[in-house]
Amino acid sequence: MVRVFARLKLRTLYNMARTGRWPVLAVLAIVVIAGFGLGASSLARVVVSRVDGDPLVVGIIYSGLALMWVIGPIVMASIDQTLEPRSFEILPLSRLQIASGLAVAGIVSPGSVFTLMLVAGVASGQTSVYGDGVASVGAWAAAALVWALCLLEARFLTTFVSDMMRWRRGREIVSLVALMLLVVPGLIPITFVDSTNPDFGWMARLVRFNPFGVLAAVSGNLAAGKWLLAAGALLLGVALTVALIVGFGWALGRLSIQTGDAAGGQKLNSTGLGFGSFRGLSGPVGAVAAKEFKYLRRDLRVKGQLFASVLIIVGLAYSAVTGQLGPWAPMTVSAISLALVAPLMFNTFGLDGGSFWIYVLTGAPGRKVLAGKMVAYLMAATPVLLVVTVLLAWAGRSASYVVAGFLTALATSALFIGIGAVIAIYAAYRLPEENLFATKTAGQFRVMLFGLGGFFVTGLAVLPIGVGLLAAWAVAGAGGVTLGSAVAVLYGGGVLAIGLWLGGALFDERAVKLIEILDGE
Amino acid sequence: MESAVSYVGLTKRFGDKVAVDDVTLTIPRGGFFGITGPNGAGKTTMLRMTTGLLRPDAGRVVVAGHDVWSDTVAAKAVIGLVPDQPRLFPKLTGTELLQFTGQLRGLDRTQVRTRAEELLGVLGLASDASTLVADYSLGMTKKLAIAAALLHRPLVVFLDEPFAGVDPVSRQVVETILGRYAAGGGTVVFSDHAMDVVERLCQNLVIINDGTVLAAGTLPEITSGRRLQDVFVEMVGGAILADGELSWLGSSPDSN
Repeated sequence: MVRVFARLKLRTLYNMARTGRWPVLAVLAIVVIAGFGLGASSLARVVVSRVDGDPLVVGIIYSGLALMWVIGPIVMASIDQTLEPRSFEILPLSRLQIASGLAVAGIVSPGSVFTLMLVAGVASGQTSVYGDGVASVGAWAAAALVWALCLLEARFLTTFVSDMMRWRRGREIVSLVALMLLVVPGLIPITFVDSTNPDFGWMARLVRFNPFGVLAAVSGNLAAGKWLLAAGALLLGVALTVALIVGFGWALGRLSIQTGDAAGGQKLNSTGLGFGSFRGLSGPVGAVAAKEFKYLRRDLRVKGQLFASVLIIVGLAYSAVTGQLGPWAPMTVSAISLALVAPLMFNTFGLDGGSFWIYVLTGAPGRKVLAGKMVAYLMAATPVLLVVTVLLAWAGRSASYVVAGFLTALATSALFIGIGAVIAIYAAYRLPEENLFATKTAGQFRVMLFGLGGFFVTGLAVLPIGVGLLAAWAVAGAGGVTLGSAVAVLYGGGVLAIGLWLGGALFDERAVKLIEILDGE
Repeated sequence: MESAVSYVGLTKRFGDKVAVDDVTLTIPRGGFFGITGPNGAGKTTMLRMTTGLLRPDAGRVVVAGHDVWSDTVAAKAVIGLVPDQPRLFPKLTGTELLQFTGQLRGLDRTQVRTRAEELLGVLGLASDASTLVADYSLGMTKKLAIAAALLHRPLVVFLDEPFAGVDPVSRQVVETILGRYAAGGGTVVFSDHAMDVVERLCQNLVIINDGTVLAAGTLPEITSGRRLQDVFVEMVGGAILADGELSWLGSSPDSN
C-alpha cells in the first residue's frame, strides 16, 4: 500500500508537470530542488560554520522550517489531493494503511527533499565546527529529528483540520491562521526597523526554547560536555515524534467517526433590505458600492489584506512614537492609505472572481461599476485614515500636521484608486474564494508585469506630492505643507476622475476577456 | 413567425477545436425551446455567445431584434441567464444578491424588493434569504440564479441545464414558474440532456453535435412520433456494447 501511495504521489507530480500551465512550474520546481535546495544546503553549511555553530542561528533555520511545514500543508491542501486524508476515505483501507500512505506521500515531495537537504547542510556545518566526534552524531541525529518532526507535524495538521476544511467557515479560520503565521514573522523586522533601540531578546528566547531551537543546540551542548542537556533535547525530539505519530493516528480515527453533516450555513442578521440605500446612491453605482462595503466585512481575502494593513499601521505608529516625524507625517499616513486601498483596488475584479460575469450580463456600464468600487473603498478608508492621522499626530507630537496628514492621505488614496481602476482591467487575476494562497490564473507573467508596472506608475504619480510637500515645508513650514496637501487633493481627485473615465472605457472593451481570465478554468 | 433569437453563421473555435460551427438558426418567440446534444456538443458555448459572455469568431446573434455584439446594452436588457454552474457573489445573502442584480439592471429599489421577496418565497428560499450564497447547496444556488434571471422580466431567458442538481419538488416549482412566464409571451431557451424534460416542455428544439446543427424544428417534425431519446441517440451515434465486452460485469461477484 505504501508503494501505491508513493506511485500515486509521483504520478501526481508527473501529471502536474505535463499539463497546461504546469510545465514552467515543473521546471521551476526542479530548479528549486536541485539548485535552490543544494544552494540552501551549501549556504546553511557555510553560515553555520561562519557563526561557529551558533545555536540561535541554527534555531532560526530549524524554527523557520517548522513554521513553513505548518503553513505549507494548508497551502498545498487545495492543490495536492494526495495530502488530503478524506480523498481516501471511500477506499477499504485501514487506518494504518492510510497513515503510512499519507506519510509516504509527504516524504515524496519537493518540500521534503528540500528540507532534507537544508538540515543536512546545517548538520554538515555543525560537524565542521565541532569535529567528527559525538557532537557530529548529535548534529545529524538532531537534523534527522527536525526533518521527521517537520513532515509529521504537517501530516498531523492536515488530518486534524481536514474536517474544518470541508466548510467555508473552517477554511476561513484555517487560512487566516496560516496568513497570520506567514505575515507576522515577515513584518517583525519591518516593524522594528526604525526603532532606535530594538529589543529582539524575546524573539531570541522564542527561538532558543522551542523544540526546534532546543534541537539546534544539541551539537554545541555535546561539544561543551553538557551531556544531560543534549540527551534531554534528543529525548524531547523523540517524544515529540512519537506524540505526533500518535496524534496523527488519533486525528485519522477522529475523521472516520465524523458524519460530516454539520454544514448549517451562516445566517446573517441583516436581511439586506437596505442594500441599495448606500449613502443615498442608487442604481449600479449604489449597488456595487453596497456590495463592496459588505465584502469588506465578509470576505476573508479582504480581511486578510486589512489584517496585514493593520500590522503595517502599527509599525508606522511605532515609528511615530519613537521619533519626531515632523513633515514626514503626511507621507507616513499616505503610506498607510497605500496599504489600505491599493491592494484592494489593483485586483478588485480578482476579488469578484468567477462572479464577474454578472456585471457583464446585466450590461452595467464599466464606469458605474468602477465608480461603485471607488466610493466603497474611499468611504471605508476615510475614517480609518482620519483616526490614524490624529493618533500619529498625537503620538509623534506633530499636531500642526494633522490637517495636512489627512488631506495628503485622502489625495494619495484617490490617486491609488484612480490608477488602480486602470490596472485592475489589465492585471486582474483570480483569487479563489476559499483559499488565500491557491492562485491559479492564465497569463501569470503578463499579469505580474502589469501589476509591477502599475506599482511603478503609482510610485511616479505619488512622487510630485512628496516633493511638493517637502518644498512647501522648506519654504513655508507647517502652513505650507497644509496648503500643499490641499493642492494634492485636487491632483488626486483629477487622477481619480481620469482613472474612472479610462478604466470604464477599458472595462467595457475588455469585459468578455476578463470573464475568461477570472473564470480560471 | 416572429423570432426571439436568430443566429447567422455563428462560429467559435478554441485552438484547433471548433466548438460552434457556422450555426444558422431561428428560435421562435414564446414558449419553450430546447437545445440538446451530447457532452461537448457546443451548447454552453452557444448560450454564452448568445448572452454576450463569449465573443464569437464569426457570425451574428440577434435577441428580440437587438444584435448582441453591436447593440449590446439593449440586448442584455432583454436577456436573463442561468449558467450551468452559476457563480454568484458568495458573500452576499440571497436577498442581497437579488437586490444587487436588480439594481445593476437599473430597476427601481422597491420593485426589486417586492419581486425578490416573492421569487424567494415561491422558490422555497424564503427561510434562507439571509443566508450567504456561499452556504447554499447547488440546487439552492441554481434556484437563486433562476430568480436573478427572471427578476427584470426579460423577453428571453436562457437556462443551461437548469434542472441538474434541483430536487423534484423544486423542479416542479421551476417548471410552473417558467410555464407562467412563457404563457405571458416570454421565451424560455434551455439546454438539457434529460430527453424526458425536453420532450415534455418544448414545442421546438435543436439537436447539435460537434458544434453543428443536426436537426431543428418542432418536436413532431423531429421525432415523427418516435421517442426523442431514440431519435437523439440515432443522430449523435450512441456507443453500443459489442458481444463479449464487459462480460465480467455480468458474472457473479463470487467468481472474482
